Amino acid sequence: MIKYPWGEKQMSEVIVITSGKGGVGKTTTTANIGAALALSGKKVVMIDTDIGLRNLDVIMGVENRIVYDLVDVVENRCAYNKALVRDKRFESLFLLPAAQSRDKSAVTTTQMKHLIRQMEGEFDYILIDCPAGIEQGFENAVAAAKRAIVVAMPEVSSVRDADRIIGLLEKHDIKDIKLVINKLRPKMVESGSMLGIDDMLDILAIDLLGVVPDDEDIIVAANMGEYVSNMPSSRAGQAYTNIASRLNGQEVELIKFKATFLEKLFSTKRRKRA
Amino acid sequence: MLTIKGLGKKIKLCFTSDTTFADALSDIGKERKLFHGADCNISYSGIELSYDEEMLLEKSLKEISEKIVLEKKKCLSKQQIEYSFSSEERILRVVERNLRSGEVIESRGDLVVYGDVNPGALLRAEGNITVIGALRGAAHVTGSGKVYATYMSPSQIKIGKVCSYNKKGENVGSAVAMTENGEIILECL
Repeated sequence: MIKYPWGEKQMSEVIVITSGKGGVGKTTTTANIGAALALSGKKVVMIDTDIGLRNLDVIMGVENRIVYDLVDVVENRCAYNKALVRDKRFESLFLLPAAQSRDKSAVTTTQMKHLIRQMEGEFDYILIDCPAGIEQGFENAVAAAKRAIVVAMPEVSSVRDADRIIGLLEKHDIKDIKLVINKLRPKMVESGSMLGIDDMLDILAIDLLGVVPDDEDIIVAANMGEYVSNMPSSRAGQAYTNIASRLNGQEVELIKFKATFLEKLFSTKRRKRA
Repeated sequence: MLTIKGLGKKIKLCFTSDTTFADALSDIGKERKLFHGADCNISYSGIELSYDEEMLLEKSLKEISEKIVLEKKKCLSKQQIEYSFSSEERILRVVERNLRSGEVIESRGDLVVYGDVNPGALLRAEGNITVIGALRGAAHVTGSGKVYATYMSPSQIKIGKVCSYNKKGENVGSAVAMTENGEIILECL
């Protein structure tokens, strides 16, 4: 907490969510962590920096309500709070959408830093959804962040890219880097055909924030513009809620994902045939 | 020439750009009376000092007054400790952190890494390479030397002109790689 001369003001947590590789679920993770944080009563804004290929608005189901976007804000065509889109279900969840008609070079790192400095103090959490790759889009997303969440899938290529990204984040002087393992399939881990949590932590050597299982609910929810973290019955939703509580500083144990009896039976059968 | 400026509770030493380090020390020596018994932070500007020179400067300031704190510019954070020193004929480079994919560390002599070397990282040295940690990336020895790792699972080892790949991703624990009869052999320790 920083004491300002005009009174105490809680600083926002500025967190970038990144992965390096595409398709590992950065945007879904951002949306669901944001929703889970909003559900716990925090004021959250999510910034989509994937200019030209915006998705966060689609996953949130607010695509039709976008008037102004990130590029309009940094080019001073409107104030940032005019561009914010409020979520229908959660009062305290906002989105600053990316522009669809421009590309990543439309925003510079200085403009990003300036924007986040303006927003700081207004929100409890500022989540920045980073595009895939390590070019301008990544530089923009990382510029003003103080913490980072690296999303990785239990796949060799994803772990390799996550490793590279962690190296780059360290170069950008971000020290608080946490790992979210996404799309884990317990039965494949048990049969030894997928990297386990320990294998990934061994290579990446950063703190684990949470593990999200591969769940059909995520796809269903994303198509409907819903959040799985809003569905208490879903395993993935529970995982995202736990991640949000851990970000809030609570200690929550990892959910133990075990393959069910039937899944085990099938996996042993398949192994025998092979 | 030394100008002393007060910045709140700090004191700033402003040197002119042509000041050498020896001049700077003697200038400070002349101001001994001013600094006597001082209890403050001191920063400097105008001259570029190396890490060793900064340490010497702090030592000479501490001699005048115990409580003086010099604000160092070359002070290294724990994550980036990296130093190299050379004796008469050998150079040693030491890296104390995990090396991640995409990083290339080169040394004109020996190379020592305290930390893991992840897949995608490359170590290149003329002399011996020592990894106190897991070696999962590539290690190239351009001269003649050995590669030592406490957890040997490299993607590739090249010593001189001989190259060998780790196709199955095997690891053998603590081992040394060296050349023998034009082949790379691993000796488990």
